[in-house]
Amino acid sequence: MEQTIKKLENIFKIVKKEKGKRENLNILEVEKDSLHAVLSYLRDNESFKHLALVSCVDWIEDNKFQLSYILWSYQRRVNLIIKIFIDRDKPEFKTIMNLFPQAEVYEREIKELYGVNFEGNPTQDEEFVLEDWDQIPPMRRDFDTLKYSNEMFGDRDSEVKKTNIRKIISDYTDEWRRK
Amino acid sequence: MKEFKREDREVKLFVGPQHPGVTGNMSFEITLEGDTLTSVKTHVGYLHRAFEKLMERRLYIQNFPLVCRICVPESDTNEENYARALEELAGIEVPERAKWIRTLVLELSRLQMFIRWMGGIAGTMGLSTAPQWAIGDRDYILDLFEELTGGRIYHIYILPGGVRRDIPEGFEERVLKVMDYIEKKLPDYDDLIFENSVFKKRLIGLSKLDPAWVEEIGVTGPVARACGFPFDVRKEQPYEIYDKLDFDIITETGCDMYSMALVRRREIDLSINLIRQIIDKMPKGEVWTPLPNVLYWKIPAGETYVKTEATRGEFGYYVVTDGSDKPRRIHVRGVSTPHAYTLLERLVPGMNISDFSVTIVGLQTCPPEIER
Repeated sequence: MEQTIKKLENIFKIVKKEKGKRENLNILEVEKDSLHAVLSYLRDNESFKHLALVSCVDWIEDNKFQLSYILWSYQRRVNLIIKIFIDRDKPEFKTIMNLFPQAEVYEREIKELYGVNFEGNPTQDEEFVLEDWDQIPPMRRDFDTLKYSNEMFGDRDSEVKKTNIRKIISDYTDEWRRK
Repeated sequence: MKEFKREDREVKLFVGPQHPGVTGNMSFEITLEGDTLTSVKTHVGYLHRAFEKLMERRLYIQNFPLVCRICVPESDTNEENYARALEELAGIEVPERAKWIRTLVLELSRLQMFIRWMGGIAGTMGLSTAPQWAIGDRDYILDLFEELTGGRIYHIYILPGGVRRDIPEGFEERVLKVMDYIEKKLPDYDDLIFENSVFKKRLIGLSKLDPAWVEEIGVTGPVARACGFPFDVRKEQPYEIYDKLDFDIITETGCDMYSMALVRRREIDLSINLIRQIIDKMPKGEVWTPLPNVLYWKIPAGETYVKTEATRGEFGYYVVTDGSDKPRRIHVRGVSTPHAYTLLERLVPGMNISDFSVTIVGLQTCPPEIER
């Protein structure tokens, strides 16, 4: 695996190398412009043929989104996470559907939940799990779930709320102590 | 005479979200020409519970009641994955015996899921005796789970650092007794389902895969192994104590629905075999490494990807931490995502409508793991 990383370093610019928490996991950060070339090199020359997952992480403090591409090599039995960072104010990137067809669904999910636009993905604007969503994408860190819930559903005057559950419990424990 | 265009001949139908032939709450928008399907579009979202968002707002330990609900019938895979990811990131060692018990629980969970699936596929084809048997036999395994963990479906038994408690006295004998019983029943299932001429006639040649698709679109599990592709996470990237057990990867070469069924049938034998091996070899010792106070438990920044072999294929957890007491991001790789979208879109054209339900159950799609 070290040889592969060395070869990659000779061809592409590796921003950061990390050793995974176990032997068969490596994490590489590459420049976003070279991601397609890196993935296609790994797929065609280094037997990383299986794309397990495309994921997105919101680093709101640094104003960045992290996109992670998790690859697996059947021959070497190694997992490799390739990650890139994109600007949070301008969340745009290109699709990798041409390399891995199953990425279409993962990108569609990221588009809906994080608002990252994947240029060239034909189905990304279709609704995935949400319906008629008019707020900011819900998986972003600045989406306030409690505020949304209160605005959407209001303060419901339910039986549960009327009951003072703490008083019932304390009465019960008092009674139990007296016994 | 009026000339009909192709569009006029096509009919659009919705299968699901409530439909006996669909696994769980998901919907398929199918296009028909006569009895023949021309295309399919999958819709999920009927079961979205925002688990991944909720998990980012909770302490690490508070997420265990959530993760086990991600795939309902197979909760232990989720617990084990999440616990193992946290152990890797926090650098916690798990006692040897706890690893054996975890593997036992995982194999029992796989076994009950395969038995349930066997009833499911037979039920979809109208062989309604099999589901009655399968649900009944699965209950014996759920009884074991109830004794071991207190819960029948959701166990929350596997935690970071080991398992919640040691196995009760005499539990091994009861497990072996259930295994003997299930093994005795299997020839009846074979006669009823796998040797049944209706079953064979309908499934042989149905949903034929091109073996090249396995690598191309990331197909895993029994679907990949039915194409002669030996990919099993238990063997390729052994976790817990699978490297100490003696077994071979099961493959078939038919690439069709019947081969997938046969792979799953042989997996039942394998699971019983593995459970016997585990009980035979299990060492004595501790089952739990004490954790720091879990209410103030902070895990150093890092990221990892762990995976297990669920009954449907490679089930993975991508966990990112930032040094605080809550996870930064947890992304679950549901096995069904490539199966229910990319693979199904390629399988469907030209299929008869009556075979559609069989295909969905045969691929063993599980919607809650697609939308989480």
